Amino acid sequence: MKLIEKDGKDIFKRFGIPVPQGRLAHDPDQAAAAAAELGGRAVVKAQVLRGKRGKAGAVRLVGSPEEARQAAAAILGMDLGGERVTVLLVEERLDIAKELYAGITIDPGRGSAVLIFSARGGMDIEEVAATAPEAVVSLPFDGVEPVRRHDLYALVKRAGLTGPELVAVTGVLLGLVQGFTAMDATTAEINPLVIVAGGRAVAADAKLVIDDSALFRHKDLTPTETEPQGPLEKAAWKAGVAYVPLAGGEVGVIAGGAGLALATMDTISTLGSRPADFLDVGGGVSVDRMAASMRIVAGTPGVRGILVNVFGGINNCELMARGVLKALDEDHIEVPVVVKMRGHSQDEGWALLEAAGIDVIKKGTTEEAVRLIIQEISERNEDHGGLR
Amino acid sequence: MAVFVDRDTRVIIQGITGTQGNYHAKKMLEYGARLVGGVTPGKGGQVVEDVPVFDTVAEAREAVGAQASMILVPPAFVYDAGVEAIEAGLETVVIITEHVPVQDAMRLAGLARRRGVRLVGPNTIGVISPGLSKVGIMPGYIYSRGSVGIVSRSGTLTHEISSNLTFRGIGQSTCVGIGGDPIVGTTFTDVLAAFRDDPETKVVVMVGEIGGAAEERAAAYIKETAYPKPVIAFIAGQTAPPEKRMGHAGAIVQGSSGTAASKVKALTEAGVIVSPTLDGVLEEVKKRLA
Repeated sequence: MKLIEKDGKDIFKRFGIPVPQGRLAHDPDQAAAAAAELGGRAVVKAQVLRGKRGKAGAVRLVGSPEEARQAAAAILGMDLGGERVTVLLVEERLDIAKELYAGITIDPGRGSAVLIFSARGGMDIEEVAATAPEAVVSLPFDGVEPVRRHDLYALVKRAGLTGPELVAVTGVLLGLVQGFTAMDATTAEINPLVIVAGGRAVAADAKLVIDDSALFRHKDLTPTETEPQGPLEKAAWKAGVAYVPLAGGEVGVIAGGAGLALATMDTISTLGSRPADFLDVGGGVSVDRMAASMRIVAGTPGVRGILVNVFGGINNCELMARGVLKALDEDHIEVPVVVKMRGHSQDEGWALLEAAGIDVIKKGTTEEAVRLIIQEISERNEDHGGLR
Repeated sequence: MAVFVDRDTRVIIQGITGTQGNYHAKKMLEYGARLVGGVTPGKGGQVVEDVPVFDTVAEAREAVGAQASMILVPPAFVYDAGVEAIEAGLETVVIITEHVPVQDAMRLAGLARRRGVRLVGPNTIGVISPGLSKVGIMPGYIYSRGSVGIVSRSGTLTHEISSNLTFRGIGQSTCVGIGGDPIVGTTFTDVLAAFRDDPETKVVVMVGEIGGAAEERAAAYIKETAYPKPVIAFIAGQTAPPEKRMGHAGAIVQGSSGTAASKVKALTEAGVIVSPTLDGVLEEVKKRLA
C-alpha cells in the first residue's frame, strides 16, 4: 500500500524525523486558509501516488493565501500520468541550504533491506549513483541484529558529512530505519532530505510503501483516499484475488498462481489474441472466491470468452469447478468458457464441469487450452454474424 | 541421492492440525514421504493421520528425529514457526504459506543463513523428488521419476511443466519451488548449484518471471561457473504491460529493470536455451535427453 506524501510524513514524524508544518486541502478555499495559517508563504503540492509532479507544475511556491488559492485551482483536477489530482498538501516553505537523499528498500539480491544515503539529493538516486558514486553510501540490514546509531554515524561520515549535520542526519536515518521496520515498509524514502538554516535536517518529501501482506499488523492505518477504485477492483479486493484489467483484450484469464497467469497471458498474445485481464485466484480457493472471480472477469470490458487455468495443489479442483458453475448459474454468463484443471480432486471437478457442458482440458497444455478458447470465441462470432 | 529431499528425509508439518495441514499430511503419507509427526502448540499428544502431534519442534526432533519441516500456518504465525524450526536445529525448513510479510521472510532468511539451515520459500509449493518423497503441497501424480531438474519461482508453472513432461513420458529428478516473494531463503543459484552436483539430474529447467533480477543473477552464476549441464529457461510475463503489478510482489516491470528482454538477454549470453513458449520447453528437453 503506497501512501501519499502527507500520510508518509505523519508517520515519519512519529519516528522522530522532522517534517515541515502543513495540512491537506481538498479545494482552493481550504488551500488559501492553510496558507494563511502558515503566514502566507507556502508550497502547494499535489498528493498523488504515481504521477510525476515537478515537471507538470503540480508543485508550486506561493507568497500569499490568494496565490495559494490560484495554485490550488490550477493543480486540482490535473491529470498526472493517468492519475487525477484530488488532494493537495499546503506546507511551510523551507530555506534550503543543502539537498540530500535517504531511502530504504528491499534488495532481493542480497536478501535484505538496504539503507541508501547520498550527500546529493533532489534528483533521481540512480542518476546520482551514476554521476557521483562517491556521494552514495549504503548499509544492508536484515533485522536479525538491530542497526545501531554508531553504525549510522560511520555511514554518514563516509558520505562526507561532519559536525551538526552529521548528528542531525544520523538521527533522521535512525528514525527511518525504525519506521521502516515498525511499519513493515517495503520502501521508505526521503528525497530530498534538506538541511535548513542552523543545520537541522528536515524531510521535504516522503515516499512510504507498506507491505500489503503485513497490513494485519497495522489495522489502525487510515490512508487518505486519493482516487476512487472501480467496482471490479473493489470486488477483487473483497474476494481476495489479484486482478488487473488490461485494455483492448478479449480473452478473460483466471489462473492459479501469478506465474501461470502471466504465462497464460503470454500464450494468448503469442497465438494472436489479447488477454483482457490478469487474475490470480491465490491459494485456498473457496467456491465463492472462484464464483466472484468469474463475475469480475465476465464484467471486464471487452471479454468475449473466459479461460480458467488452475491446479489442485493448495487448491481443490472440485471446489473450483463448483465456483465456476455457481457463477454461470447465478449470473447468466453467456461467453464461452474453457477450464483447464488438474491436481487434487480432479476427477470430481472434471465430472461436474462436463455434466454442465463446459469444455475441459485435462492433460493438454496451456497452449491447447488457449487455442480452444480462441476458436470458441471466433465460432461464437460467426454465429452472431459478427455483430458483437 | 536426490536434491534437498530424499526417501529417508524425516519430515514434520508445523500446523498439522489445521485443515490444510491435515489434508497435506494425508497426501504426503499417500505419496510415501517419511512424515514422522507434526507440531501444533497446545495440541501435543494428539494424533493426525496416525502420526504424533507435538507442542514444539524441539520435542518433535527429540522424539521422532525430525530433520525437515513443512510450515503450513497462517501468515501471522510464520515468523515464530520459522524461528522455532531454525533454532531447533532442523536441516531443511520449507515455508508453504503465501502472503508472509516481506520483513518476516527477510529476518528468517537472515537467521537461516547464519545457522546454515536450508530455508525454502515462503510462498512455495515446496520440494518434490518424484517417486521418493515430497515436502510440499504438489499433487504427486503429475510428477514422475526421471532426470530433469526443475527450479521455479512459480508453483503452478512447476505443476504445468512437470505434468506436461510426465504425460509425455519424461520424469524429473527434483523439482524445487523457490517461491514468488521478493525475499526467499533459497535462490535459483542455490538450486542450480545443487543440481550441478546431483548425478541424477541431466537437464535443468529454470522457470522465471518478470520483475526483480533473480534470473540475471542466475545467468551470471551459470556463466561464471561454466555450468556443466544444459539449462532450459522460460520467462513468464513477456507480453505483460509495464508498471502494473501482476500478483505477487515480484512481478512488476519498472523502467528498464526486471523486463523479460533483460532476463532473456542475460540468460542467452550465459548459454541458456530460452524457450519463448511453454510447449517449446518440452521440445527443448526432449532434444537434450535424446
